[in-house]
Amino acid sequence: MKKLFLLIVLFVFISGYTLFAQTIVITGTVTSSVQGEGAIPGVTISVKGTTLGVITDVNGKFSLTVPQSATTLIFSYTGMKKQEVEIGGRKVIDIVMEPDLLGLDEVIVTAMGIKRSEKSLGYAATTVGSDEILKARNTNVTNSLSGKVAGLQIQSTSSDPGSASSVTIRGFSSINGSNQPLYVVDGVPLQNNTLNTSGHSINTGGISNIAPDDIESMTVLKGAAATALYGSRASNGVIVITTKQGSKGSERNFSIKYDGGIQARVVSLFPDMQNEFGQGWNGNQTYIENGSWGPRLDGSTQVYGPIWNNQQLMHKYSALKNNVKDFFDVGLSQNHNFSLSGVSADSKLSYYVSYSNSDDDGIMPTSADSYKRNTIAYRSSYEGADWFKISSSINFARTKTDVVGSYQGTSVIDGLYEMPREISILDMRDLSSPFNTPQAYFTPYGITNPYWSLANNYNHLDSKQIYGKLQADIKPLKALTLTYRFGFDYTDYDSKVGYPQIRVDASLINDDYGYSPTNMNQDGYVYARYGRSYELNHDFLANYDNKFGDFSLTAIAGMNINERYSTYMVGETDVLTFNTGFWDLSNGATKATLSEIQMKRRLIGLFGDATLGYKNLLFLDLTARNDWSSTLPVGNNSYFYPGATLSWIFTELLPKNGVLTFGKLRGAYGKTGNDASPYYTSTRYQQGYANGYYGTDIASFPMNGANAFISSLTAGSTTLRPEMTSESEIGINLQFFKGRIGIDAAYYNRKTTDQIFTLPIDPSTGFSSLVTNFGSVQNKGTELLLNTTPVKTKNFRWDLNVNFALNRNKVLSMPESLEGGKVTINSFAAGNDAVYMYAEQGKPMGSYYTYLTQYVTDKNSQYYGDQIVDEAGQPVLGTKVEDTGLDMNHKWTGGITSTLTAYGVSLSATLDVRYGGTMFSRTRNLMEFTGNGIVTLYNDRKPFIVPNSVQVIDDGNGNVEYKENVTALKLSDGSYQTYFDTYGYGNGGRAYLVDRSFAKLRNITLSYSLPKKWIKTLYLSDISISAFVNNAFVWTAKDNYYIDPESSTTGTDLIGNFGELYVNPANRIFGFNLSITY
Amino acid sequence: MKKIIFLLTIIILGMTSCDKYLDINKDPNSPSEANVTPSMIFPGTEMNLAASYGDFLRIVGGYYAEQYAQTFGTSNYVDYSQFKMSATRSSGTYTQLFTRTLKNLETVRKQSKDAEQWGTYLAATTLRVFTYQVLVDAYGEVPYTKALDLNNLSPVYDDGLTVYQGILGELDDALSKVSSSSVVCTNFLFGTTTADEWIKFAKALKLKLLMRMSNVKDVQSELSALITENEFPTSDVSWNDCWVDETGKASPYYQEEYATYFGSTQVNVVANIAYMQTMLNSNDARVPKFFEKNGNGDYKGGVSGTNFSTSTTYKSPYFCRPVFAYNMPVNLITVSEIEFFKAEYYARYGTSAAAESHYKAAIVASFTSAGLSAADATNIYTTDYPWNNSNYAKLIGIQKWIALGGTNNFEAWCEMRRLKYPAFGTVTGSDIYNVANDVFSPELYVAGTLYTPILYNTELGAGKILQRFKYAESSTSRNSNAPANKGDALPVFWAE
Repeated sequence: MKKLFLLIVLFVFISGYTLFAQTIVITGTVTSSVQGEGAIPGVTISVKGTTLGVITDVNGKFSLTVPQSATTLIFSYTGMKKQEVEIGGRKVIDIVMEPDLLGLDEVIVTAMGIKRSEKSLGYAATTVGSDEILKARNTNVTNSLSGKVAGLQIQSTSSDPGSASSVTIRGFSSINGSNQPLYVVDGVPLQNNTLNTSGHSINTGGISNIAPDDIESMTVLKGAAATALYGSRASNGVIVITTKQGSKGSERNFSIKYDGGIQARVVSLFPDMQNEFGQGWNGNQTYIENGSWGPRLDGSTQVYGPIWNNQQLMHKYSALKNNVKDFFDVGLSQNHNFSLSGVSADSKLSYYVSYSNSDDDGIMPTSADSYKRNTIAYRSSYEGADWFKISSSINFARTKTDVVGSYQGTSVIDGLYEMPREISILDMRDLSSPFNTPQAYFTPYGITNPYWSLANNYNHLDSKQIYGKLQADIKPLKALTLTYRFGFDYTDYDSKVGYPQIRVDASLINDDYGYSPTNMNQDGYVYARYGRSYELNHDFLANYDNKFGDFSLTAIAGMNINERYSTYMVGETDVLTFNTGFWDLSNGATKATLSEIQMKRRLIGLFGDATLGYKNLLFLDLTARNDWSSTLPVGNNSYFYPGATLSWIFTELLPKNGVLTFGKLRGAYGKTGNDASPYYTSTRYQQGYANGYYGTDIASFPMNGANAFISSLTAGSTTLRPEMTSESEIGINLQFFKGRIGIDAAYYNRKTTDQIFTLPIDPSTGFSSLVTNFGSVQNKGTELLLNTTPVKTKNFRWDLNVNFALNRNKVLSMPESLEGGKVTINSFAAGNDAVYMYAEQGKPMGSYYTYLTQYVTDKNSQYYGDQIVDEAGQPVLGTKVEDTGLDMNHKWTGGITSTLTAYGVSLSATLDVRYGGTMFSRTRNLMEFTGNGIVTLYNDRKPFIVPNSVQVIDDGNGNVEYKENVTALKLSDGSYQTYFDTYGYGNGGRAYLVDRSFAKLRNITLSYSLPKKWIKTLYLSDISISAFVNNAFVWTAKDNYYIDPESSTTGTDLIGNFGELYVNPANRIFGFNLSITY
Repeated sequence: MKKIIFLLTIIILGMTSCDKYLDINKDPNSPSEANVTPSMIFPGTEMNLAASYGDFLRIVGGYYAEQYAQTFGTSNYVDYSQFKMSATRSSGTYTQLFTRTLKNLETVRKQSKDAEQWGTYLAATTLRVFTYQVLVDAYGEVPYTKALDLNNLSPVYDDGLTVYQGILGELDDALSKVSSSSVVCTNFLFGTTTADEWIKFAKALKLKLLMRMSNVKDVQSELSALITENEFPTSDVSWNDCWVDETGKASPYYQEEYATYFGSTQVNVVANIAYMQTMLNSNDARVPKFFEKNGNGDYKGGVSGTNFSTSTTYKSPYFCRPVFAYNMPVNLITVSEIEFFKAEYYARYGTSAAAESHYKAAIVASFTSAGLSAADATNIYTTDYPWNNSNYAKLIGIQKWIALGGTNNFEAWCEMRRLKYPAFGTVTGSDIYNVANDVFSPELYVAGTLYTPILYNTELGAGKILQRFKYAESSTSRNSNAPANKGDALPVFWAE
């Protein structure tokens, strides 16, 4: 740290030192070519080859002192084309600036850090700039892309600090493998490692460790043609991140910037609960039940809970409407970022150094849900000669994450959601009272006081990451650049999870009302996992760039060598000596297991790319790559994949006009191969273990003085082939009225075949699953991007950007051995309830199956269509899981971003809409099970007969008749409640499924840049302040009054789409931000 | 520049050894298949069998045999007490028995056969036969002739008789190769290094197989030969001295239902009134060996088909839990069972006197295994259930039901399906306990009978024992040759 400061001081000193002998003064005015806009204030004018510069005043006028040796002035302004103007002895220079047609001349960073002008691209690429990224101040920068890129789906697994996000581009293709894109930072691939713990996905490193302030832009490359050059891991798309490099300040050759703010998190969405009925079961009041199936709340005074030491709690039997909400507090977060950016006096050396700190605290009381991150980034480049440049970057990140677990039992959330509606949560804060601990808690049915859970459960992650690159570029010839780039990414982490020991002293309980509090006893548990992983990446590139008359040629040949390694060791112990708080493996009396995993993979790739341009009219790009992967069978580990794109700027052939100012048609075809995970080519043996029915590892070796190895349940394959994704795409870009309206539309058809599968197979084969190539999945879709500037005057501007994406996903083929051609992606089973999510042939990926209520299917019966119930009047459920007709995929997604700018004030909002699709929700089921949910007020809990229901009369000879059901369900005999908790409110297993549609106002930001003349008096170049709200509003589907549909507790990627079990509620964030640039 | 050329040269040179560079796909966390020996595998297969047979199958067997009931308030197994089994519930055991048990036993069998280690071969074959019998007894039909072959991902299901005849042949083949001094690899069951005790176990298993199929197939001569030879175990065959009071190392049923290892200390299993009252009525001294006293110091059994969730009186300390400890044995076959089979054999094919002596020996063996003296058993076979050859099925049925209720509930469920005793009386579960009024009338129960659970499996029907498991979901959803489920009331082949 000391050294770093010294370095900074040194740079500041060097760069501030400039001296000129003879000078002249140049004045002038800058105006816009757009009618009505007139003079432009704030244009930067700099002297080429020096660090001198000035900006225009409010009237567009400037005055600049330049040395006599100066030859050229550079005029630049955001949204206008940059101009270089020869001075030619003039003292007055007035210029007219042309608007930049919305990024068309923008340079896009594509494969391998190669830069391309956007108009030459034959595929879809969307860039999101720094300003957009920073608006919402998301600690995890991927979340800033939500709603901004058509076809890009970001799912933040939870609102809790430090939560990982799942990112998919153009739908899910791989059933077994990863669907996450590849992240490439300044040409170097970055690991994106998440850890699943207690129903949460948290980051150990990778993309989440990049401070958003360090990012210049993020470009999403969507098609296979775009991604072919990145190799295997790019088959799901690439997110190219360009970080900020050293650059001049506006008046100095360096700038210092501070950017920081504070945020307040509050709970935004949790289940709607009823306020009519209180603690009890089957309509009767009970003192120890964990639900609200009791009598109607009447305001009387009642005792509840066990009698402990001759004492019992009393309370008023009336609803506490805000009980759950009262538990949560305001989580205060802050973030700070300092950066120094500059170039040396001779412009040969550039440097950028930053320090950032984020400290997020969630909505739980205390900091048990928090995320802290510190990063240091340093990058510099040095141009030693015209033909030689060396650049490097090095980044450190350190995070600490504390998680409040989501699981059944003594978790905070289960404790809250199963609490009877009249029992006060705020009275439970005093943990010195035995009534507020498992000892004498009001219920012994598995749950406990949320405050006690918060204080006694532990889940902490420490992670460190160091990553960066070293790159050398040499130009032996004018048209040829040779590059060598070494990239590295190293992460290590320590994860600790602790559950306290509970030992209830039953002798102090005078009356337990039939269910002993000792049922709450647990042994306590300490889990430690220490892991590390690295990725080393070498790229060798030769880049040839030349013009031959009307033709241009850019050709690249290269080689890539990549090695990835990860390892972790897990230790566990239980039956704790210290009940809580000492989370060390030495704290266990009986069990101490150790296990380890190592994984290593290598890949070599050779690739080539050539772009041939004709005038500014036609661009043809051809790519090819061959990979050799260590994870495929030796001797059969090579695979080749090509790509081609064509881009035709047809407006070049049209006469110049003011309406259609730019038009491009593009087409692309590409293929990307993907290798397997390591060690899929052989069958492994593992240390012996066996499972019980509920308990796993009920036997674990070594035991009885012997060790044992047994064959793994997964059979490897020696004939594995790479998974192949091919994609074709056509698109059009149009610009009207000099960029006031821009349209980018694309249609794509992507097919992933030869999926590398761990196929579940009948265990009677000796294995539960088999690694194989099988199945194919198609994603077809349309993306539309509309950029408009409906209003633009001198002082007022309104930008409105709309994106829309439609993706149709279909599983084209599945192995024949599977009954009905389906494979389980994820499932939930509890008792006789089960919900499965399948990939099934002929259907969209992720179709839900469950036990369904049955209806009369005989069309000749007068009862056709009626629901079948049994003798007790309860719904009859099928004996097999059946197709619900529902799947996880959104029907369409879209986003709207609107920005109003006037007099330095800018108001912007981003709306993210996802329509259609289904998810699993344990929270919904819990609301019905406990009688806390609003739906349990059906018929005011009075007896009712299942509407339009019939009973079956079977004469035993296969003749079936029906009779109208007249058996009522009532609270008194438990059948009303059974209807809810066993028959899912009459919906069977569908009671676990909710519509995952939502519209979220992701962000509203009001920002203000102080006028330059005020700032100047402070010797600063920019001050801006902003206030924002994230997740300002969430609209959910009509039948979802339970959860934020974005939530997931089943991890990330495809499996993460299954749904949630005991997810913590969603947040809304209010924030304030300040940015100062010197 | 020079450096880069140098690097490039190295890389290009390196390409020639590219295959070597990429040949790293050997899992460092797995021993290679070639190095794994039978002694390393065998204990792992044993514990997988123990964890299924001695835990899940024991629990469901106890509920289906009306030996167990579900206690107040909890509902983990209340569906078993209603005589239900779902495809998902039956999957875990099916998977464990086929993959971690049978698959690994195949490896042991292959290696020992190649090395002509016939002691190990017999041990592995015996556990394989035992496992297959359990699968047939539970599911009726399972893949056998085409099973355990990765080249056939959709093996056909074989009928129960085919499997039984196949495994009998395997057992005979293995027995024909072995001698009592043949060496056996490391195992937990006997711990000895020779095949002596394995041979006896194999013969007891053969007795069980033949007796099971004796109603549908004439196997009298095979039985006669086996019983005349009389080379059966003289003590219970069980995993009984390998348990430690720790997670992953204690007796499986104890871990699942009694230990606090997995966080839950929830009580599910309690005595059933049928089983408890039948024993109490005959002053059976095994009661305190098989069950704990309730909170009031009494012996009480619950009723099938309910969990008393609305009861204000019959709450958790009211009904008695089975006695169990971390070191309780997982019994594969007991001396008592062998003696009951002999008694049945002589009752059907021999003299009443011979049958009676084995009937007494079976009851005495049950008492002594429970830690009681032979004298404690006298009243059972003299006054309460005296021998009567014409009524052999009922007597053996009820006494076997009682003996197995404390040692091996799965076999109790099997034998009552085969012997058809105990049989259903006229009293129903709803008569014994009225859920709506919370009225318990245990005096209505008639000793030695079964009753229809309060809520019962309507697919099965009232007054019937569940005859089979639903086929495992892990098979039916993945195997296009898996047959449709047969009805819950359809017996497996030997109980037809």
